[in-house]
Amino acid sequence: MSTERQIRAFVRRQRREHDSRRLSDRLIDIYTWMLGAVVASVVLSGLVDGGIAPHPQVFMDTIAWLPVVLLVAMWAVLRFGTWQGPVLFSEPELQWVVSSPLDRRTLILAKLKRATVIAIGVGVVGGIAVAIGAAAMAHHNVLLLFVVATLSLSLISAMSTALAWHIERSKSWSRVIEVGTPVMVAAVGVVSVLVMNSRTTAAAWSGPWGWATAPIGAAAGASVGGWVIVTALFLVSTVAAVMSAAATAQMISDEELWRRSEARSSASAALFFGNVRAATTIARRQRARGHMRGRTLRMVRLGNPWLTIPARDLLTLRRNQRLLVVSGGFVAVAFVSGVAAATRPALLVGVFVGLYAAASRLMEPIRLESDRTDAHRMLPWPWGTILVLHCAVPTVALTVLVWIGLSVVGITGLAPSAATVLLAVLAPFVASALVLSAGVAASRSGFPVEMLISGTQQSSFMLVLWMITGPMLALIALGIAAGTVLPHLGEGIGQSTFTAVLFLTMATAAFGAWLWNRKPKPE
Amino acid sequence: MADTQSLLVAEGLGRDFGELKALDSLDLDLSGGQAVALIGHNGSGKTTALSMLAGRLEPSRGTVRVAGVDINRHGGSATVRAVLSFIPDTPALYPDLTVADHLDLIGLAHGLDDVDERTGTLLGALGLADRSHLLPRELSRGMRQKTQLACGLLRPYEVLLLDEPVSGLDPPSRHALHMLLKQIKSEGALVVFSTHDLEFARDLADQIVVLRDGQVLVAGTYDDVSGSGHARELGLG
Repeated sequence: MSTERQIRAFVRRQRREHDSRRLSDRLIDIYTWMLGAVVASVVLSGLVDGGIAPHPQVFMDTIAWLPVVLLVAMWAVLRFGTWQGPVLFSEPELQWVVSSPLDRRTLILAKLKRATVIAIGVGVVGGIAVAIGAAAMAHHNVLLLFVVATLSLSLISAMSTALAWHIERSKSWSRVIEVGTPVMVAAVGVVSVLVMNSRTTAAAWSGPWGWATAPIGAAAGASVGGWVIVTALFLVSTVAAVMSAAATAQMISDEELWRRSEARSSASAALFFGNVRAATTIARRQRARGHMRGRTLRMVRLGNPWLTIPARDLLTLRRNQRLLVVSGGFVAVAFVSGVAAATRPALLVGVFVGLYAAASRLMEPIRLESDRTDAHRMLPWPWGTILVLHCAVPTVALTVLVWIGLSVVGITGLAPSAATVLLAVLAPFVASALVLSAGVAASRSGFPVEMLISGTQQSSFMLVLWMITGPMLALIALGIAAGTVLPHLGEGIGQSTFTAVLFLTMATAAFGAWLWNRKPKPE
Repeated sequence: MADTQSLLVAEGLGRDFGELKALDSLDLDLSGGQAVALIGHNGSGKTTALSMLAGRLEPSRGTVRVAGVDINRHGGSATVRAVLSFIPDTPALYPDLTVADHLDLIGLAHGLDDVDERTGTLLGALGLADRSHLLPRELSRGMRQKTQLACGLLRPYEVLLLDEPVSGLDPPSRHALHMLLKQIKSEGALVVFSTHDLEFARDLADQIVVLRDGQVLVAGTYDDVSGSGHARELGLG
């Protein structure tokens, strides 16, 4: 046995010996897994017996979308490679094992092999899912489909893992993936159009995601032109990707391994305490590798000291335009839901969720402030005043986004012009109520850790209350305002609009007063 | 009774943490143009004292008045905020703002007219001129400390409180800070700082307060302190 293997076997043995879990814990784990498997089996057998859609064509239509699904999944794996990747060492491993004179290639290869085995496992699960789908939808050749799908999906998983390794070890490839999101979105659009137009052969030739689908489609009986060549191409490229990953196993810097290890520790710790925002911030920071956009942009000098915080928030939005784009997306969801709600009123929920989510994203500056409560002491205002000042730019930004949405639905005739004008008048008041309610939620730092750890019934209740406070406040404010206006869309609209504006203003003032009186939590 | 010209007055100031008396009773009556050093071993109560003088920590007993205002009653008042600048030992910087952004923010927030000129001077003096585009996480511990110093020195103040300002600084930066604080003192501001650097304290401070286990051991000029019976214990002998 080689020295590297001895070391790894030693570490595994020691870990087993020092595993503090009791037998009862292990039995509970086994019981949980078995229970899950039984429940899944019952559900799946029910599907197979009952037939959720016992028509083979439904199955064919479903697997036609496989290239799109695989493209998105592959992109997700490659994106994962920009900040984590298949080769991850823990900090103690880096400090004591990787830094030793042991053969680094062997150590990295062991990690790569493990990641590839996991990837193949995912492929097998995918194959089982395809087979179950085929059986449930009364398709023939279930066994053949299972074998082909398992092989294809295992191969594309292995290829994605190998490519993710190349991204992990190469800064330039990592950067390409980081900035390539628009290209990926366009690719998803193109493949989706091909699928929608039943261009099965073109979709199959469009890239590895299509290559992997070609043999599955052929096994299912679809007409895929040149599927044998595509499959051969797929096999060769997968082998090449895996071999090149193995050949470059030692080509990664210590710095890169450390950065990823530290990012993983920090992100895991953040997730352990339910702080998803912190975890995503860590991931984004690791991916960016110091490439902060708009570093040369400076704060706009607005002349009055009271406008300093809005100027600072404007700088944040100019540098982090993703915030505006994401918020714009949420506003678009709200408008699509609003238009669709004309025939299905239940979709009004989508309007609220979209608008609140947009307001919440725009409140990032207040979260940054709450992350470092001690930093505010260099400013000449009390904490509460700073929090209220942070609401100005998000309110304006949300109002403008809503006005843009209203312009689009107005111009395209999706909403009556009178309603559009009315909503345009209400927009600043709605935006301010939403932003300040989101501000109330964002200004609290993370949920108290001691409550999270205690795990009592009371702490669960508090956690739920903590999470829904912002949306509930917004819902109350907007619900009453909507309830005032909606019944009077015809007659008496002027009076009801005035009442709604009055109520939204009162709600905004109440949320603002709460923020104004906040004290910073001690550092 | 304190002098009406006094900028910073502490009377019987003390703080307990449970059973521990972190600071027993501190009395100060300080006016502008002075520099006072708090020295003592780790855990002697220096940071506790400065935190209470800055209004960050509520005293268990005693009072602090800054420019005549009781900061525990009116800690958030505009008067106190306008005259007091506290630079803690742990840098408190915004993670998304560069060094230059921090100085812009403070300049704008405090309505400084000559912010560019003063920023340039401070960045140059502290050796940060070529790092002004960096984020806090891209700076070394010393550079973050210097950024914090630049922020604290840029804003207007009459009372400047610094907690271990030279810790983590290299000798040239230490010298630069010494020169800056000397100038600040000569311009009429009151400078109170804690330090383990006895040479720095000797060169800058008019008065030295030595703390041990929360008690004022000895107070006076450097000569008074070094001539006291505690000189050897403090490393002055």
